[in-house]
Amino acid sequence: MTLRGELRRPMLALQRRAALGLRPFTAPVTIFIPLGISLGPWGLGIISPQTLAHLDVVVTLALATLGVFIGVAGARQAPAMPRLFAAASLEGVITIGVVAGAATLLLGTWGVPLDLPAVAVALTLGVCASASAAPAAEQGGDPEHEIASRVADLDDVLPIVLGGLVIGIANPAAPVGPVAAALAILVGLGTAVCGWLLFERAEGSAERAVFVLGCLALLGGAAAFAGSSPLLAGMVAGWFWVIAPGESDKLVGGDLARLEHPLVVLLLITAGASVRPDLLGVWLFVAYVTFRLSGKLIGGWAASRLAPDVAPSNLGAYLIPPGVIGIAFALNFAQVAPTAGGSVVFAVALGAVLCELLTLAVVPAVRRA
Amino acid sequence: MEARGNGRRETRLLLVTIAISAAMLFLLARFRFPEEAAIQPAATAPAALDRLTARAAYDELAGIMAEVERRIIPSVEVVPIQTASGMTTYLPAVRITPDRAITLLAPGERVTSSAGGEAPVIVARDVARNLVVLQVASRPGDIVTPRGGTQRPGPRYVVVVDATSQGAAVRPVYVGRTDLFQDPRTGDSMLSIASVQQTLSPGSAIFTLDATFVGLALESSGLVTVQPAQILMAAAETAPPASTDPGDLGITVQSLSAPLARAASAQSGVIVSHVDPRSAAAARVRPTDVIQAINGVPVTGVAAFHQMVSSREPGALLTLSLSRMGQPVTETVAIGAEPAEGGASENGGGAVNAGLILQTIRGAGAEVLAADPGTAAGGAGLRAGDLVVRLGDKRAPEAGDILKAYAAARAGDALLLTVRRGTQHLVLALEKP
Repeated sequence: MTLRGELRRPMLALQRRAALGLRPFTAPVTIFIPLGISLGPWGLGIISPQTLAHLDVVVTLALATLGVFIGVAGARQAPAMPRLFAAASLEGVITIGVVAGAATLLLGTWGVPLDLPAVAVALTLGVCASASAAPAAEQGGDPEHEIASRVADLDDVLPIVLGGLVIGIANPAAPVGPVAAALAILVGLGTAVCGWLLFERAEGSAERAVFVLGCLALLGGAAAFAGSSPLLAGMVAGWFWVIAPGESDKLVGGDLARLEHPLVVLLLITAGASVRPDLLGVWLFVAYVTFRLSGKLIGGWAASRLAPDVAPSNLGAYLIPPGVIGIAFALNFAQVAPTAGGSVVFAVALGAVLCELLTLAVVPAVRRA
Repeated sequence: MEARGNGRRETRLLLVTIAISAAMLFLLARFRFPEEAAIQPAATAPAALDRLTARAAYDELAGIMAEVERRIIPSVEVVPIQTASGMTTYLPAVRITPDRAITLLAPGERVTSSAGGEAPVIVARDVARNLVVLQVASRPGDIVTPRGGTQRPGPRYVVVVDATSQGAAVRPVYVGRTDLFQDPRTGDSMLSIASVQQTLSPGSAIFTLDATFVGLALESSGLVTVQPAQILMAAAETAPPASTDPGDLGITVQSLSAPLARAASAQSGVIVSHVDPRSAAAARVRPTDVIQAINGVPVTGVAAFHQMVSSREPGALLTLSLSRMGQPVTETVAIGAEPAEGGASENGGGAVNAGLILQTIRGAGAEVLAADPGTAAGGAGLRAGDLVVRLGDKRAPEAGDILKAYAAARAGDALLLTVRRGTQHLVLALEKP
């Protein structure tokens, strides 16, 4: 089939799916980011800057929660599928390299006046870009789709660790990058140990829910107070609860499942409301979308070559939907570096919407069939 | 076969993407970010927890200020000051013992009395630091606590205490950056607080939010700095007793502007605008003399002149290198010595009692620089800016002529002054009470 023909088919599919109200228009990012923009200060103004300031705390809590989910998923899947984990990490590193490299080069040649090192902004874009959210595979469905979902879970681990360093670099009030990351790990471990000692001793589900929520608040709050990454702290805690004796991970997972969807919705609406017109944001948006796409395809291609027996050859195409983690990390960056962070949130949030739409254009033929 | 086909498709798509990305990179790298679109600081607050704590900041600060004011005000005395130009201002004096308070008094300034009260007595003076120790009404318990060492108070709010005619007033000032530097005159460590440069008046007292005394503001070379509390309190303990106001030559000087320098045929120094006729200098120094050096040290300006004079004890001899109509002259005068003819000095009699500060304008008369409303000058209707063009029959009298005549007059006598005020000509009677 010619390239023109290949491009026409997804467009037809896009039209058909849009008419049916199916993906990508039902993806949370494509609904809640525009909703947040329309409700935010630059839209109807229902979410005022003051409200956004209050929501900042919820964002911190959501970051810690997402970190726990990623930690739990990583700890369960990585030891069982070390080659897939390595492939996913390689894909993440390549995406970060492509996006951060291009952004560093462009920020230098553009001569953008930034109040923090350009490499911190570039790495943030790279970390945001590396997160993927392949849609959950159905039971007994497409095996490539299932593997892509696992890769999407695993490829967040390394970027989150790197993100812990970036937060340390970008935050003027924080210690240097490695120390900030070490602090996040310490906060995560300390809180995880407290939770581990408490969860199984709870006398009822209500008491346990209080312990879980308390641990989450402690994870997010302590990490933010220390100027480090709540995502990293949450991931370390989640990882610990899986490898620690007992059933802490299952207990936490059960309780957090109730929080997951409301927090994701709130996170996306907050991200949308945080989007403000910004020239640098527009410039970064163009670079972000372009190089994320190429980074994912190159990374997916390389990962499938590293583990051809487990990773499909068209893995990169599955990983184009960005999901929530990248947006969450952009919000985390905006908390510590509000000036440049506003531009990054603009680029990443709108880039996520566009990437969801682009998913159909490059979606593997097997999914369209 | 299908897998191979998919692989080829992916590789083709990958190559297309890489080509598009490289082209985009090349294209994007050709742009320059417009300078006028430099990113503005975001209006949103910084860190997550900071936003939580910042919510009640204004109310909280107001509450803290009320508490600090309650603790600080009893330990601050408001002292009326007469400046060199005759203006009355106020300075806060900080109580370091139950009956002693310290403040910074610039050269040429003197403590005066408030309405219906007596002027506080200066009991000790550290000339190098312009520090004076005042005797104040005893109030045990209202003593400031000095801040330890020379720690830099920032970033945080500090409390600045200013003195007004209504009493002491406190205000919060956010200090973002402070710097330590060494005072070249004393070797003391001084604080420079960038954020209050524009709003800090010399003499203002600075406290922390927990009411510990940080220091006093001092103006030096146009820069307002803070003399730390511990250094001030140590200097106050060792300051020599002040029996008289030191360093009063009875000479008023002004800067040597370019026109004055040309007219006086002098290149540097300060020009004498008035010589107290009752001072020791009256017989040796004349208005329009240019003081170029004191004891061989060049005089660089009015502040330097006051500093050099006031740093000597009364009775000390000063050798003045003068330029008198272009001719070098050397005169030796004693500081604070009584004038040869007797009578009142500037601090003790005639000029001050007349309430007049005059400046000779050669060939035109004497200009009134200040006329205290509560004195004979005020009673006569003299105002600052008036030009006395005639004293009795004498045309274009010098300042010294008027002050001498006033000093020589008996109680109840009056001097007849012809005054030009703008375009008006007036005759006024300066009566000696």
